[in-house]
Amino acid sequence: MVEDALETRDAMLELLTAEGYQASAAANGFEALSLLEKGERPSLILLDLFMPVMDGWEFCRQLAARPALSEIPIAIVSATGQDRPLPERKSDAGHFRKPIDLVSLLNTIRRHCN
Amino acid sequence: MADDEPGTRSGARGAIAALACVSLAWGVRWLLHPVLGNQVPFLLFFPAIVFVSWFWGRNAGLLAVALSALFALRFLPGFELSAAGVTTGLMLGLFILVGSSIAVAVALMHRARIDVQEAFERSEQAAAQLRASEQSVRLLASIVESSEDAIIAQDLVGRIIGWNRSAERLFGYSEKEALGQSIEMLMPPDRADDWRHILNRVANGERVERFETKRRARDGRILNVSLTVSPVRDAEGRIVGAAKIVRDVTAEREAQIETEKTRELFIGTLSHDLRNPLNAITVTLHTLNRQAPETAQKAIARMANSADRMSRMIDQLMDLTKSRLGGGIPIDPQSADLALVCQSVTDEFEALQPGRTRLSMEGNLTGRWDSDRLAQVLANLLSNAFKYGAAGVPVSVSAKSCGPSVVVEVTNQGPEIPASLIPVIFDPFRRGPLEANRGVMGLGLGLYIVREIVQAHQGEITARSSPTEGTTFSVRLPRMSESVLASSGSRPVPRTTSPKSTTGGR
Repeated sequence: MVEDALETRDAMLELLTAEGYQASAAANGFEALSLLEKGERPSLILLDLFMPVMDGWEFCRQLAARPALSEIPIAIVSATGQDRPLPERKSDAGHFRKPIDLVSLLNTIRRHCN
Repeated sequence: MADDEPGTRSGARGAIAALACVSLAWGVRWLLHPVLGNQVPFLLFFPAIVFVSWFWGRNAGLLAVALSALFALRFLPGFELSAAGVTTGLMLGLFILVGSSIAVAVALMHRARIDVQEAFERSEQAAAQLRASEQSVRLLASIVESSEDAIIAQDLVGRIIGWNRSAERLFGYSEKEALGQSIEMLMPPDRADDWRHILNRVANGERVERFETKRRARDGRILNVSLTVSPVRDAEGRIVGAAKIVRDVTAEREAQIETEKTRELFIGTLSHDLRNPLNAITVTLHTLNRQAPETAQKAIARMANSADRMSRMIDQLMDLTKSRLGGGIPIDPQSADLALVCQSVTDEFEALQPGRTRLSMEGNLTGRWDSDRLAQVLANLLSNAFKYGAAGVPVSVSAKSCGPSVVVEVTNQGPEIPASLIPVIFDPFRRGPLEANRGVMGLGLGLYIVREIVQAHQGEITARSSPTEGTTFSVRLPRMSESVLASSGSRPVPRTTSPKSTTGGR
């Protein structure tokens, strides 16, 4: 879960844990990239777009440049994203606007993580 | 002239005057006879002739000459033709000759004097007119000079023939430098021919109003200007040039761009900063709900509902902001089937209140539209119909093909909307009667956004209401060809939505 808003991050981690998934969180694209380079291999990345340090667009570019990581599915979870095209992703798991429609998000997660 | 009435009358007056004056002269000469004897018999007739000729003209003067001769012959003592013989005849002839010459000369002098006087009066009038027109020219010139806008006059080949102080300020050329130059010197490189097109239009008698373009100042700066150009005509009405008012709108344009930026920032902040905490609430409630006891679940559901409502209000505020500050609500038209949209929206309402919607569709309901936005329109109209319509009475939705358009109508029975309210019903922040809202107030933006979406599709929406027919909102949507889309300025918007179950098609 890559998200700069602490409350949202914590709430999502709690939810995912309660749903029985293993989840880790990063506050921006740069932190997420560090986690991945340390060897973490998630089944799905939930990505916010507007974040400090490294935003969602740059994160996707960085990921695409790393063959080992470029195949990981990414779902965009963002409050905006209408006024700027969404980042290119090799494996696109959808786009969810905040406040998230949890039923469909959990469906997507289930599809990728089971 | 002599035959007409006033001529005859003035002739008669001249004859009477001649007779009177000559009689008077004869009388005085007769009285002076003891002193003068037979010397200068005609002396006093000359002043009489001069007097008559001056005031009554040549003919009266000549009559006075004739009368004088007659008086002299008949009544002057010692002046008799027969007695005096040749000398008297010579004197008389000489008198008639000199008297006639005097009469003619005096009459001419008088005429000339009148002519001179009239000419003088005419020239006085002309001078007064000139002074007045000079004054208005000066007034006009001072208006031109003091104008905040640059005012330039040019002839039909584009040579500058007028250049006011504001033009000096705006473009940096003095009047002396500008006069006689071609207007071309003000054209930026990419619009070198701009002036020719404008001048052509003006030469055809057209007026160009508030034409926004760019011009180049002396220092190379490119100015955003608004031009108003009108033809200048000569006294015969021929177009001989163009008068151009140039307003510098550079600052205005910059302010506009600044406003645009602020708007983008505002929309971004509004949507991002308001949605994030709301998202945290929704997600947390979902987690809580999994573990909460039965008693707490009702409270959690209430909080979830409130969060949903708040989310919808944020969406509406966003739409309002876009439509008010931006260029309308953005739509993303794709090949779409309105039948599917109607079906899926009515299905959702059916799920909430089974048996309360009646859907009828006929004809080809396909076109190029933004399905998500049209679903929003329909959902909004249906929710209004549920809210304000008579409880338990079905709401009907009909969609039918109408040639190049499709017409969708939503009708509910129940209290009519007052006629005075119909024209303003689509205005923002209008709300229906309080009781119908059952204590849950929205923002009053629903119908406004509905109309904005319909208008973004080049369509129109109308409302009609009567106690017998109920209330109907009618939406007419043109099927929108590619060319219409190109001119409508709608920009494609990337949007992904969670797929909703769509039961049944047509």
